[in-house]
Amino acid sequence: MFFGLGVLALVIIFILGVVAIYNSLVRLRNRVKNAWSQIDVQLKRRHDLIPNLVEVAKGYMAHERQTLENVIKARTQAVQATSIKDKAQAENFLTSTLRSLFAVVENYPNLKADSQMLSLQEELTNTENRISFARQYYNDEVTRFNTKLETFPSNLIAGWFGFQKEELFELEERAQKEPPQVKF
Amino acid sequence: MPFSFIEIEKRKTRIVFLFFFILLLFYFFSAWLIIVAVKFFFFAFSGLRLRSFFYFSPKLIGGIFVVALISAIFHWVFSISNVNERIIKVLGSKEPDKDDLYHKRFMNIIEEVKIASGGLNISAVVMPILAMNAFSLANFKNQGIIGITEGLLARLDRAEIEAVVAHEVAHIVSRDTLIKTVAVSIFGVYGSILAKVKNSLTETRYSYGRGRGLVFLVFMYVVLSLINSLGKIISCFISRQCEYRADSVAVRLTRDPLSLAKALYKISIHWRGAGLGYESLESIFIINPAYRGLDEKEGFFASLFSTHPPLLKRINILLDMAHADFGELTLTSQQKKPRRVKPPQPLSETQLRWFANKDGVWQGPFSASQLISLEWVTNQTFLKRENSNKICFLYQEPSLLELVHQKRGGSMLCPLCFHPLAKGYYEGVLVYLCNSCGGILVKEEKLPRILIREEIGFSSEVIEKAKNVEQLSKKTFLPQKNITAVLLCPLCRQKMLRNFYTLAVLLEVDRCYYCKVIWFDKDELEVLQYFVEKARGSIR
Repeated sequence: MFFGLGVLALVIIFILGVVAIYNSLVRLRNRVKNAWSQIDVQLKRRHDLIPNLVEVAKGYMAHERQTLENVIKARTQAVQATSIKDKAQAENFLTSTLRSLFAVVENYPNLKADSQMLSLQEELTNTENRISFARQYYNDEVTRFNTKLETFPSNLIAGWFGFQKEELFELEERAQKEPPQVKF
Repeated sequence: MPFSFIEIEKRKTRIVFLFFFILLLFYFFSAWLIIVAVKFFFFAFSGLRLRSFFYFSPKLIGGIFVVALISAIFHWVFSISNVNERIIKVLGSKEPDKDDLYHKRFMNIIEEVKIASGGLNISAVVMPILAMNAFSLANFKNQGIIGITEGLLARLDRAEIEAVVAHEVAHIVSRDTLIKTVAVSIFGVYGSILAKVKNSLTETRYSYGRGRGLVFLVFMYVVLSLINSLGKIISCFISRQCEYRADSVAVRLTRDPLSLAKALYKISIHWRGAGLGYESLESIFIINPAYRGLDEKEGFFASLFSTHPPLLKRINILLDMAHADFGELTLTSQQKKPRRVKPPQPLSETQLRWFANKDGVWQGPFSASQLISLEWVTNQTFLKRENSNKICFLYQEPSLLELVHQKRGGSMLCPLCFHPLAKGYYEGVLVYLCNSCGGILVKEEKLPRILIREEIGFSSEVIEKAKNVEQLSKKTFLPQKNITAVLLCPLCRQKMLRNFYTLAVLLEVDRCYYCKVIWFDKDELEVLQYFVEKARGSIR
């Protein structure tokens, strides 16, 4: 009798534990999704800003066609990328082309002092910071989720219900691993 | 260990309810004392024994308790409802101006830090004072408010403002802000009203407003100073440790300890707002507005009675994180950024000139602003650049099209040369410029912002003019001037008044007192700025 009750209690505790872990996994995964959607919003914002930037820069720098075209190309790639890895790669490329564009802008004092350009620069700095903060938040959440996925006992339960590891949104270039700020 | 911003230790809010019991005790003993005083007043000579003055029947104690409870509940509810709005009113803060580039940047920074913290409900306000400080507020619904002063906006760079905002967000996230806001709302706000009452008390002493008003003021003064001294005790409950914690969370958010250290250093060496009556609200600010020796000390009493930890220690901890030393910090903070000197004339004007086609005949060349002020030029007019043969429509030239939009948008005309005024930014403030004569129309309320910001340098021309004005100001008798033309206000077309902006330097400006705008002729604004900065010591 007591033995039976003990087994029953153990089974109940086990089931409750599984439910709790499963729920926490789902919660974490949803948070990762939410964080990703944040990044997506900010990336879209950046993509929308770039045509304006190129348009303003075009008026002043006729001889830098190549740089501007590179930016446009990188933007198109970034818009078309779908998987997280592709996106990270395309965005890194876009960032580097933007950097070279702003390096060129330094040579055009008129363009640098242009009020439209100044406000665009502020907008772009804002977006870059938003992206890096959103990425920071996303990576924190993914790390939490992945740690939960790999540690005992939640790794067993994750295995039963088929939870998959999430990918980090990583920077590849070493030079970009700096504090989140863009200097023009 | 990953830091979650959403699962915050909410038990901290319980401390807030401690405040309620302190209030209750306060009212209970106040009522007790009042009754004792009344007894003394009426029965002092009736032969009652001294002991009976302090003796209370249980019924009376119950009655006092009920009265105290009701007063405490009223005080509590009043303090809790619309906390943020009320404190902002006391501080005189306003919503940021969307047309102002500095304010826009501040709003952008708030957005960024919101994302870094995983999405909190935070709004921004700006305090229109020149002191350097920042504060945060939050209510029970966890709606946060971050405010910074104009002085801070003008003197810190983007990364530093970001660090300051992150520090305030850290307070809101960890719910320190809620405790501080409630404490300030219950006990502190009265301190700042107290300062005002004190002022009017000393003023009425010399004016004729004596009598009942004075009695009322004295009564207010006594009551308020009682509550205020209670607020001092409350500051014991506010730990200094939370400032260290907020600093470290801010670094987690922005990953930039050096900027926070720089920001703290810059705030500490400038005026932080002492004397404005915010001393009783000190706990919501990033650095105590008043300078107090106790803040820089450590030990039992210092940590019990001061709300902010030693600044030097805070900066040193941050510098350790950044692997930098103090000498470097002071050096880089004192270095002045090279300023952009405004070119003598807009370059686009001198570089690009256009021929315009009127009924098949090329006319010109015109500069861009001349061109758009011509009556017969429309968006479909054919244009040709001066040294090229390429022909295009006006609307195909984005720079010209923008000028046209500006012209259509504001139909204001320059009071000197009747050119359409264009919207433009001067040190981040929205102003109206005349591209032809170089005059500037500024709203009076926005002028202080220009005067505090130090973005644009001074050309030798401006310095020359300033020296002339200075020479003139030294003369005892001013040479009589015959004013040939009275300018008309571009807004209301009424006559503007010509007077000196300040009697410190005799610089003439034209003002419209109806529309509250000031017209500066070419370089006059720069000259004024030159004098202000010289008085401030920003330039030698």
